[in-house]
Amino acid sequence: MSLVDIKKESRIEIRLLAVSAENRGTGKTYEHIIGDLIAFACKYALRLYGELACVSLIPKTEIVQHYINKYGMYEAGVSLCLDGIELINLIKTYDHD
Amino acid sequence: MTNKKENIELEEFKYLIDSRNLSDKKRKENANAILKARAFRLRERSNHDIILAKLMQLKLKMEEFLNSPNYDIQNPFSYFLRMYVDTIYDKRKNFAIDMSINPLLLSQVLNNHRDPQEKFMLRLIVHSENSFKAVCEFDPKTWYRIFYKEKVDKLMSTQKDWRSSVEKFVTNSILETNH
Repeated sequence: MSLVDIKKESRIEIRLLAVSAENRGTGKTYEHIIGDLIAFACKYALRLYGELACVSLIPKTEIVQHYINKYGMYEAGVSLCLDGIELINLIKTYDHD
Repeated sequence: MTNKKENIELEEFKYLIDSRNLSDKKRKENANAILKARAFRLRERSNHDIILAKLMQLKLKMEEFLNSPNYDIQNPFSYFLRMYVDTIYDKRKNFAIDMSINPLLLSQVLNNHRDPQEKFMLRLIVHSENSFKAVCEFDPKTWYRIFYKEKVDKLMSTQKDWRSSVEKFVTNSILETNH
């Protein structure tokens, strides 16, 4: 995963997100890897920017709806974004620290 | 890594998100769309949700402080306590009332004019547990750990000031040997 801190917008952009083959599809070794990685970005954004924190990413077209349904993201431009209570809920769901 | 091995590893990965090559123009247009959408959502956000976000931010900042050997926060305990009180209350006096403590005592603790007593710390632990349970798990040891980390760090960083005056009172007759 590669993150970019866009300070003047209080936003963290996930610029690259990749998961190894054994952790994809129905037979994956570990569950929730994508959720865990996005939760990491959300915690990072929240620690830096508090109530203004936002995480965004530009997904491939075929996974847009899946990310909206599963992670509570919303569309803005060509990005999907996460902020507010949905960002907190994602951390609560996927963060296991 | 050889090219062949590198290619094999890359083939095993699926790039779910890869926006590294977006043009500057496209990125700017997108940033404007995001700002517009966020501004609308921020206007709709409840005060309660804002408090939850600030509390979770405070917890993350306290954890970061406890895990960092170096930090640039002056008087960390009162710094974090001020953040905590100001996140939840409009007036600090109301926190003192909820904690059944004298507002003057609270003010002295917040402004580093005195250390918190045990009674204060125990009430703060209970108050924090109630506040944080709506948003995240909160380790009740956190406030004490911050308080003592600050004390220990301050003591160790000022050895030059106190060591010589202390050493003259200390001998070790059992293990100290003269070579």
